[in-house]
Amino acid sequence: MDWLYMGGTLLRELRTNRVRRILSILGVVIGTAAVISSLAVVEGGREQLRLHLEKMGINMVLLEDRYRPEPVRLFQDVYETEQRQAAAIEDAQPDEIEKKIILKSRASPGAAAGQDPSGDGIPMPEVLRMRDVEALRARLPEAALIEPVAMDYAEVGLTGTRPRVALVEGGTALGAVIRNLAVREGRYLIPSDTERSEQVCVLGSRIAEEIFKGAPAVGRRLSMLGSQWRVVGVLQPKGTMMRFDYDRLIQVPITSMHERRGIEMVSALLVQARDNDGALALRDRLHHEVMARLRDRDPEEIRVFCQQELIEQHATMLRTFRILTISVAAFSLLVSGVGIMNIMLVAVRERTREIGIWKAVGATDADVMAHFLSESVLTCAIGGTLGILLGVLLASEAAGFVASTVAETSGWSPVFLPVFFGLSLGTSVAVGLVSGLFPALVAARLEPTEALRHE
Amino acid sequence: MRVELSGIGKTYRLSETVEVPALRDIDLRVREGEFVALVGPSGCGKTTLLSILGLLTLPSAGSYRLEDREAAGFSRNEMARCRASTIGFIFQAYNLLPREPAWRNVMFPLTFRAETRATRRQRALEALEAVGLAHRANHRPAQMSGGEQQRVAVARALVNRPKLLLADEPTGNLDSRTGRDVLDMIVDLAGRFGTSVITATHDPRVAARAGRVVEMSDGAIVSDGAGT
Repeated sequence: MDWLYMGGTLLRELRTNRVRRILSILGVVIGTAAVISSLAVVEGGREQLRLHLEKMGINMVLLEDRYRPEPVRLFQDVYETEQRQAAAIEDAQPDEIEKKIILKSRASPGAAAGQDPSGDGIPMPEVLRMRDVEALRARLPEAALIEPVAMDYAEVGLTGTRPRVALVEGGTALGAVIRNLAVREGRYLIPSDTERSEQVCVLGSRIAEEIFKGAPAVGRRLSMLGSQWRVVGVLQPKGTMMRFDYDRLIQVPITSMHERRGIEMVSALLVQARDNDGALALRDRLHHEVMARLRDRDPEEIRVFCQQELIEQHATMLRTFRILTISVAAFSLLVSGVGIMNIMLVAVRERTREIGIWKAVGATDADVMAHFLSESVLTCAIGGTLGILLGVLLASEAAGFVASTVAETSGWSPVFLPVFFGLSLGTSVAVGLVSGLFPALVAARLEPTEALRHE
Repeated sequence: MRVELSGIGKTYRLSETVEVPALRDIDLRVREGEFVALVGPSGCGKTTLLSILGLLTLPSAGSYRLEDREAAGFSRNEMARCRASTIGFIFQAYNLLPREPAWRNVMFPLTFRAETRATRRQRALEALEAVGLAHRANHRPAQMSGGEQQRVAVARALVNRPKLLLADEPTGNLDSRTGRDVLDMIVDLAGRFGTSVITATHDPRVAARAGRVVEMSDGAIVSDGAGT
């Protein structure tokens, strides 16, 4: 059999009944698009996870005290509202948002001045203090590092300008090491900053840009928590880690923050296990030890989680997404397979007489079978190619959707490995083979004399 | 090619109990290069006999010898290969492939052969030229008259130099003048290659051209002799 000749015949046949053919391959297009975008989104998610691990390391455990003293809570609301609004309405009037923030902050007198929150009448619960951190270090030898972090939200600005609300983190010199933060200008916090409670700060790259508008920030002074802080460094852009935007963060020595606030509260602990396998066990021990110190606190308010859990959550989410898209793909491929089989049966019926002619001049059953199989495979491969194009176009949308609805991250880019194209095209070809098999068999088994009589 | 049928019978089964005999006890020998006309009323079994001769269907009984081979027991593949290599068909209804241009229709039987593509194309064009249609090579069947279509069919039937040419009412759809032209071509080309021709016909002029007329009736041969 001359395949080039049959190829020519095939192309002529593909040009006939175009509408019918296009309708029948729609399912293949959708199915293949689902296959390739699913592969690419999941791969993108894995890639994101890998980057995340590079940033944090799998042996990290985070303990977070959800209690926020009153002034912190107030600014947290403002900060989060502002973040949401900034994301939702980029073209909204920035003045209005700022006005709201200012109104809200003024509605709570004394907040910005850092008064003791016990002053509002509600007694402050037991919280972790610096000496607890020391004790925990002694009690938990399996932890390589235990670093205290204090979270605060405060109005920040240059003297004489309108302040903005920012997330301020009190930490130590080791904060950069643990989280793999790199300094772009100046320096990070150093041990003497914490020891002497220096009023210095390190800025995330975006907040530095927002406040200083591109002018050098190192050496300038910022108003914050009722006093002046010297900027000693600006971080490299880092992005979001553990739902935390490092580019908008202001870091100060934890001791200085405690002094200015007048509240000694450690709101989080960054803990590093000595080895990766120990992280889960360390998480439980850490929670237990901390709860032993904060006896009157609700265990639900003291959250511990480790990177490994986050990774598992992420992996579960990716699996769920994959199962979902593969179901969509399988369903549409199945439906389209039936559709393809149907039009191939119609084609065999319509071309019965031609099949008779082929056989009369010497085509074997296998020749006829190969011809009809190639036709269904080629039809599906065309659908598959279109589906791949569609999938490539849709993948980043899908990744964004998954990221925002399930993973609560800022999203990731789909990653297309070359093998994905082969896999998706292979899937559509397989649909063509399977759905074309029966019609091709019907064609091959036709009796030449019967076929020639067919009108 | 020597063709030898002996005791050939063909029965169509319509259902479990109803069997219709189409051919009964056919004995027929055709010598190489012989031109045989099968005549007889419609339904007498001419087309069935041609189908058996052309290996489109197998007989229910009897022996069919093609040269030295017994064809009655051929597998479907052997039948197909033998059709491709030694048998040419011409049908009353031309039976060209509607979407293919003339030259590709003619070339089709050659695609089952191990020749180079260029040779095949060359031979297809030569065959078209032999039937006087070289200038119509790129036309599709629908763009040609009945006579032209049948000439393309003749070119297709003869392009692989078959040893046996089977024609079923080749002039049935043509006016008498065109029919005569087509018949002349068949006789001329078959003679050139030494091809045996067996044609079923109602047309007395076709029968008159044949060296031998075999008359059939009710599935059996009733007379076998020289043309009148």
